[in-house]
Amino acid sequence: MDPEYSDRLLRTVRTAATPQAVLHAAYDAIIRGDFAAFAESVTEDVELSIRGFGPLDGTWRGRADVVAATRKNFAEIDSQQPEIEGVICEGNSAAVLIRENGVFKSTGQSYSVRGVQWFTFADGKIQKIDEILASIWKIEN
Amino acid sequence: MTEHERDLGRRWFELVWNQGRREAISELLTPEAVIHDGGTDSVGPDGFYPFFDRLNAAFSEFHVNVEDSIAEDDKICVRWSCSAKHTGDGLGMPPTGVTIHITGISILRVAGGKLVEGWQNWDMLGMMEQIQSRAKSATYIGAA
Repeated sequence: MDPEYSDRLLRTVRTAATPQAVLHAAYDAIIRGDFAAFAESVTEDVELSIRGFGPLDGTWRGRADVVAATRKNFAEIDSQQPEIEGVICEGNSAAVLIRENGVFKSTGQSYSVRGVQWFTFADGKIQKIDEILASIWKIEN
Repeated sequence: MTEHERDLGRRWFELVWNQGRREAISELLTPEAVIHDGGTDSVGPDGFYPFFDRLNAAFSEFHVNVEDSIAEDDKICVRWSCSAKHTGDGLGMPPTGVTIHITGISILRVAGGKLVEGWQNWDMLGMMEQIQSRAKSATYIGAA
């Protein structure tokens, strides 16, 4: 991931508030490629759902499958430039409005998407990630 | 944020989509409100009407269910699911009669009791796949 964007991403979610602290730890782990650390930030029964972005869409349940899917998805893209446009937190939920540019490694196609990641927390960990990408608005060869 | 403002997200989906009240768009949206949908922005009710009209020309029996809603400062985030029947040619293709099921997450900014900005995030690709269209084509149903 582009260091400029990863630093900014982490600064945006860095806070002492519990859900955001957990979120920060999860983002940080993924950026570092430390999927063992990412696994520590999710519950055993975590569920991940991604929709609206064909190549990476799917639903995965359980820590092992979610971590594996996350690792696989991040391995398929390069030059990620995510930007957080807003974070809304209340109770045990947080919604992150994100915009991202990147490149598919397999095809060399660049992409730009905007979407929301809705996180649900339980016992200080992420229990559910519901991600909807507002369709692909640009794919370039 | 007042309770009235906090309820705007639910009311938007109930009045505009479930009840199909076109006039509710101008009741809830300021003239300057910007709606971001993917890479497309529309401004005010006049900018949103084409999107509303196009979807209503393609689908009937809209049912949007607000699954969850959170709010912080001046923003509301609504997680929703929707079903609708593909009964018209508003998408530029013949109706299939298929009932689609999609989900979305919308972020809304409120001020003075109205919506002043919105970010629509919904599974357009899933919708296209369900009506057996060319799902991976460049077809884009923007708000503008």
